[in-house]
Amino acid sequence: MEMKRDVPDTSHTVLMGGERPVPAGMLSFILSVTGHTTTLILRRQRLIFAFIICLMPVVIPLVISASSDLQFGEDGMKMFMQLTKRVHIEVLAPLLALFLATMLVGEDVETQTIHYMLTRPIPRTAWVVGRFIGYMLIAAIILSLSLVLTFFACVTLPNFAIGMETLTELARFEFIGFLALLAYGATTMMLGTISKRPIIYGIVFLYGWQRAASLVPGMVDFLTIVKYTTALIPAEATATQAVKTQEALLAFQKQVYLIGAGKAVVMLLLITAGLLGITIAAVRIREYSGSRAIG
Amino acid sequence: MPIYEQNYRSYDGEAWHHFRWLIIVEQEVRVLIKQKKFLVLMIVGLVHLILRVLQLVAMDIIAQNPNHPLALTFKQFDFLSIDQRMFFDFIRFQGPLTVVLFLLAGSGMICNDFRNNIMELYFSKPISWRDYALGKIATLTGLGLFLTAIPALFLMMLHNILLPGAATFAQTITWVVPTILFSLLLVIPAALMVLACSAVVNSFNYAAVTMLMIIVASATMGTVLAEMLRAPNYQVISLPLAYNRLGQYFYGMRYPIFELDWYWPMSIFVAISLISLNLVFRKVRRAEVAP
Amino acid sequence: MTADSNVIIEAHELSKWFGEVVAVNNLHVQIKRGVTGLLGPNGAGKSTFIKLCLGLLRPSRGHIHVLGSSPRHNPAVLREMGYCPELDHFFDNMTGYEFVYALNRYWGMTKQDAEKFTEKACELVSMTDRMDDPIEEYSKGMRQRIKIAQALATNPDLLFLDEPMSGLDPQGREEMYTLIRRLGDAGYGVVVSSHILYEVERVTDNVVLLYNGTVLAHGRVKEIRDLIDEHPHTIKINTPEPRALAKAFVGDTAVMQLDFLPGGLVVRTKDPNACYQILNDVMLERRHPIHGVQCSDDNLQSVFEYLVG
Repeated sequence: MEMKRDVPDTSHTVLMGGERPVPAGMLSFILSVTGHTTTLILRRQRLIFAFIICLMPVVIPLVISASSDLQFGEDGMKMFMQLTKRVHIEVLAPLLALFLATMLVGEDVETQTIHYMLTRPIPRTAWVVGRFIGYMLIAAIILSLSLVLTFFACVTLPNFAIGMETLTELARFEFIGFLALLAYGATTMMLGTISKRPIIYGIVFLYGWQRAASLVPGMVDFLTIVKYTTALIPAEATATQAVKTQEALLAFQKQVYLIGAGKAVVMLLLITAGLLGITIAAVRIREYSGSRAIG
Repeated sequence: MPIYEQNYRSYDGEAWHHFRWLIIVEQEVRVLIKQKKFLVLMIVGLVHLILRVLQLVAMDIIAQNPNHPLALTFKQFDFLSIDQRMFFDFIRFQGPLTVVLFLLAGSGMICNDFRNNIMELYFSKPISWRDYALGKIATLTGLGLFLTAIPALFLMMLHNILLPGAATFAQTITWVVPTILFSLLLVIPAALMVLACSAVVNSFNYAAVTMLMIIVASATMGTVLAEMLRAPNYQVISLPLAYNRLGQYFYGMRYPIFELDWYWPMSIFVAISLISLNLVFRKVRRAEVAP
Repeated sequence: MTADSNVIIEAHELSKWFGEVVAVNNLHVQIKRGVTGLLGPNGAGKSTFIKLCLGLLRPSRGHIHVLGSSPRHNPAVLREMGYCPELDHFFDNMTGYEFVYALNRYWGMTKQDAEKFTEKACELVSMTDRMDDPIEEYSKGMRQRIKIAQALATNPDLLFLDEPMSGLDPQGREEMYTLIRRLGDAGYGVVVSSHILYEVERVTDNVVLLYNGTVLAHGRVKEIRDLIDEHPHTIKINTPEPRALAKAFVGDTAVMQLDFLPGGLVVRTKDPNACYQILNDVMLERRHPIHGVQCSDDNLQSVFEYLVG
């Protein structure tokens, strides 16, 4: 039974100048959280470390082009594709997600600043979505910059020049990288919301489960993110990997079920939306009363 | 007289025993054994040990009995044979588990003490920064050896019990030193590295992810460079592969993964250990107010 | 439920347990506008009660209404509340101004409003001069003030201050007492939790005493004291002639017990007015010198000790 409330007495507001602020809408809430999240991430020195790691693939084409012996016979296009697939999409995207997204909610719980937020009239959905967008902004800029720099580093190699074809490939990999960041970010953010040691679970998922599932026969690998990101990558970039997989499987015959690019995009978006939904639900259900959440 | 702000008073009494770092070890172990995740990881490590025990039983008892119906079958499987490769593989496969255990147990060891102002409590007792750092390192080293060298030595002992004889003893005695070296080479740099991350970063989760990033980045860089430049020696950049290469050297195994001499990968691990040790010491030392 | 507009918090059969630990147990309470002290020893359930009021926790049983509605997931109620937590937790690498500003934006203010109200709140807690400094450089008192500023900045109807005096030096405490009294005088609903009874006495005489998750007593300190009929009032008299003074009280039916102290006398009575009359007579007749009179039972500590038994 709700208690009927009279018109609030606002005479006390004179202490604050007699005015009362006007609350904004949902979009404004999300933008506020996004702005605050990007500020927090950008002010941390450890972001420099993440950025340096992301510059790693840029070095390889430069080393090759600097050495005339090594440069001989190198195919710039092939190198760009393999680098982006093997380093940007398969390594850097999950690492950035683990580094930047895992603690988006968890850190506020750990430092107990969550109480400030949850005692504001902000919808928890807006809070989670705003945090996620903040992460995506930073992570996408870092990954995108790394891709662009790798692209220009590959220009120094034979059979690769700035043109419509190569720029299209760059755009394609930017898109795949963006989708990978979405899906991995939603996964790690969810882990950070429901667990106190999300990094351990993140490692188990990214480096244990994803690898194990790719070796198990059947459709188990559909329960990984790498399945869908790989499906978006052109065949030239996956050629090496196919041989390695066969070697790893030894004589073990595995039926590989393929998935189309369109479906892979939809799946990645669904994974993102689903896991964000779980995160929002967890934040709504959980009770944050101390350093550890109860719920 | 100037009064300097000191938030605690350093202990200036007499040291009451020489192994004060053991108190830190005891405290850390006490905290760790209460964690379910820690116990689960230890059990996972035990599962591998049990499988190896079964392997010993199969090869030392069943395969040695010509009347046993499975004897011939077991002898046909090369990968089941009890040789230095078995111990190399045992420790190698315990490697990822040890690293994950270190991430769980070690990532918060120093940063949590800073965050909760526990350093002041430690240093107001007869515990110096050296005892503190040594205690933390010893805890992780002990845990790591508990998953690597100790079970491997147990397996060697069991092998001698199940298949007694001078030949077995002479064979296993040559594996003892490589096993201990290979284990220490995993445990000490990894322990120092995770403690350095914990000392430098103020959150245990970020400390764990920082260490993970270093390992994954080195592994990716090493393999990608080696493959793209068609030069296997670049694999030395990869910490896991450099570690494996040293294991192959210790155990005198043929067909190394790359041809570089042992001192190249060794120098990488020594450098990592020294840098990490320096970071840990500097950070911890700074927390101690000079008496 | 009552429709009294002065009632700002109403709990009915409110219980909250965490596993087997009962933090709040079948609590009935109505808190009205003005400054209310939430008192109790550590573990009494004060912070849990505040978190239930703020909607951070869901009641295990019963219900709680704040400003007329259930607070959990209720933006309309949250908009009218401000909260100053007990412990110092801040976002990394931020100045005091940025901290309050960011939380104003979380409240849903426009940039202009957020700036304006941040400045006003900092001014109100006398932090204008230092608001652009990093929080890491703040003293304990300044941190406490900036935490209050963030709670005040949204100009709420109701403020929850969880142990606001904890860790403050005497001067900081005095400033805090003044600020809380000022807020109460201005018409804010202020709930101040503390386990130090003296602190609460300095800002209000309206208290809710919590013990083991239940309300032990609620009302004005004096009224609570009067309700405890089974406990005698204690009057301490400072005099160099305690034995001579004691003769004046001996034989009076209101006096239950007399105790001697070095340089004083303690009178225990069920009728303090009668005893004060005797004292008046003694003083008027200048029979014995009296240097001071203390009714120590009006002290909250005594009330609390009596109630806990």
